[in-house]
Amino acid sequence: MRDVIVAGAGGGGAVIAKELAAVGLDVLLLEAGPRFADPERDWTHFESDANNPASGYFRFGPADRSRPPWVRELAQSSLFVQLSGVGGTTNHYQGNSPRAAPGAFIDYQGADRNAYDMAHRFPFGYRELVPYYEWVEAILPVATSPMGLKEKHFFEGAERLGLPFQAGKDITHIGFRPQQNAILQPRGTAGRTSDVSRLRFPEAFGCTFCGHCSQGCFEPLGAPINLKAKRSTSVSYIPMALTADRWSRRGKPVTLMADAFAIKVGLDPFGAARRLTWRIGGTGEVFTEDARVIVLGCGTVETPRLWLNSGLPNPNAWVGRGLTDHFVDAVSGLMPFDTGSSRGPGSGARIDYPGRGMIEPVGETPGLRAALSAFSDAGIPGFYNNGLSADGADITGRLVGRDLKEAMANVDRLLNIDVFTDDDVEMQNGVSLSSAYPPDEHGPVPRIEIHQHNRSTRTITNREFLVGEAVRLLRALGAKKVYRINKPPFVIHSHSTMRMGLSADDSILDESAESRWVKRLFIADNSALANGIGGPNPTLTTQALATRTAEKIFTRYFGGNPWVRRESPVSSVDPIVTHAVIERGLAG
Amino acid sequence: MLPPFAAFFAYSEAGAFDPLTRTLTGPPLGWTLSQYQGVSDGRAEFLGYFRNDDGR
Repeated sequence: MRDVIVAGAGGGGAVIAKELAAVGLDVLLLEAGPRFADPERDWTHFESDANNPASGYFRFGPADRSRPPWVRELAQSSLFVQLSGVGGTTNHYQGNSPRAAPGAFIDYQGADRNAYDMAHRFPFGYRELVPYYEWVEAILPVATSPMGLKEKHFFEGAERLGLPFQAGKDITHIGFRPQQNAILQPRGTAGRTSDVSRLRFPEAFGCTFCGHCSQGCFEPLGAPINLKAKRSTSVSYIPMALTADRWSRRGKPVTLMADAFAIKVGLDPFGAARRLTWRIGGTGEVFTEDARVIVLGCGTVETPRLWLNSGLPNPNAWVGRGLTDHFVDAVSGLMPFDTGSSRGPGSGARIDYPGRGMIEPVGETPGLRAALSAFSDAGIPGFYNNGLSADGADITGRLVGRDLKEAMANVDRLLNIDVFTDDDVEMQNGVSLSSAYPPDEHGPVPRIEIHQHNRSTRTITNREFLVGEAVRLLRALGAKKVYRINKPPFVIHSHSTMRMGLSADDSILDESAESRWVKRLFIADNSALANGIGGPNPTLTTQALATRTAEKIFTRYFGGNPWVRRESPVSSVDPIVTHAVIERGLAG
Repeated sequence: MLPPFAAFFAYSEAGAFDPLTRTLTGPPLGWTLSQYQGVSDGRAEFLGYFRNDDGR
């Protein structure tokens, strides 16, 4: 019998697998999608090759790209941006790694505490999570983002608005700052030349400012796998998990299996989790294995789907419910100067508005920029607006025809700002099983339901406030025209569908991320978060929480001691890890 | 959902991409229309750190 089986090798599952392997447990890590073992071979910088939702290598689908993507029913016009494969959605994320807003936690006593979703706070204190943040920040590692042009302009705009600078990692007040990013800072020739012959490791180290975060990072060329610039778990936690015996005195390497889709959680006679069944995509074979603990890290859609397809208990009807997605919107300015939008890190700056959310400049290549400009819930400007009100922008709604051509006449004259709302947990939004679509080879398919026109007053008010701030910033910088897209659900951040909480009436997990009704079953992806963490990008918080959960598992079921407050973390870029991945022949 | 996908295919390299060789067959029209300088392994765009503070 295994000690632990983890289903899902994404942003959270890879973390918990590595942490438990480091303390000597026998861990099997399953991933439904492709292995992505060699990014220089598997990926390109091309948008349609990577991001085409039907056939791109970053789709949500099987490893074999000649086969169709996996089906999900979307109950509304929306995009749910997740990918399958080792590393999960961290493969196309921008590496943004801020901490959560302290107001999202139970211990917050600030004067603005009533500005948050008071009914759905984390069931433990923010201060308790800080050592886990520090641990993950050292391992990835997380560092202050350098500036490209769009960051320079964004900071100038924030200063013109009179906003204060915010130093430090904790969110304490309204303020702008460089992002804390899980991207290695540029050294050598990185960021200083576009001459490809001079951009190979080790002459180049860290971020080369290529502008292709969304297509996956395999820069600098020739770097060992653990020294690629952007710290997706596929290049940080996974290489460490596979070499745990080499850098941890008591470590045991993880067994990693890709193309293995978890389809059922089985219980023992006492109702505790005991076995996992999975299906191999390439052959259709089905396997079952027993373990002392099962961890689900399949993501905010597939974890509740697996739960429901396994017939596990749902006594309060909250399985899959309470989805938060930051009710994302986008505002762009047509600027009279070069913005560098298509170049440099995805996002290296931000403004936090505690209790409201945050805004950040984003760099985009032309295909994604055009697609997102045409993706609106507010109709076509000049024709119809779906009843949505004006907001200070020059144009609100879907850009098509002449408007799209004007906006896209030079992709580097657009300064794009994404809006991430501190949104409320609401039972109406979430994941269930589809009755409209037939089951696929993994069982009934998920249905995603988001009532964007009926969200809470606080959510809508926060979003409109943040949009207004983005418009003001772009005007302060002299924008010739400001576009507000008013997106339908564009789910690039998703959380809380299997939420932990204070009350058994509206949560699935207790404060240790263990299921309330199925013992020995833990959750380690974004679905475990109690809420939308106040608006910041969620990955770092999920990774800190997964580290804390690993300690809970080890102490509760394996008689071990916690390590985060007692030991020093080994960084994923430490030479001992580099030597280990080279020795093991992991690609790079 | 059609307009976003149409815009994506118009402005990405999709129309000039050979999926077998994973290379371009010619300059993508969308890149020309948007004055996009094309894909690259790196750019000389590093402007230092805000207030010269790299956090270390």
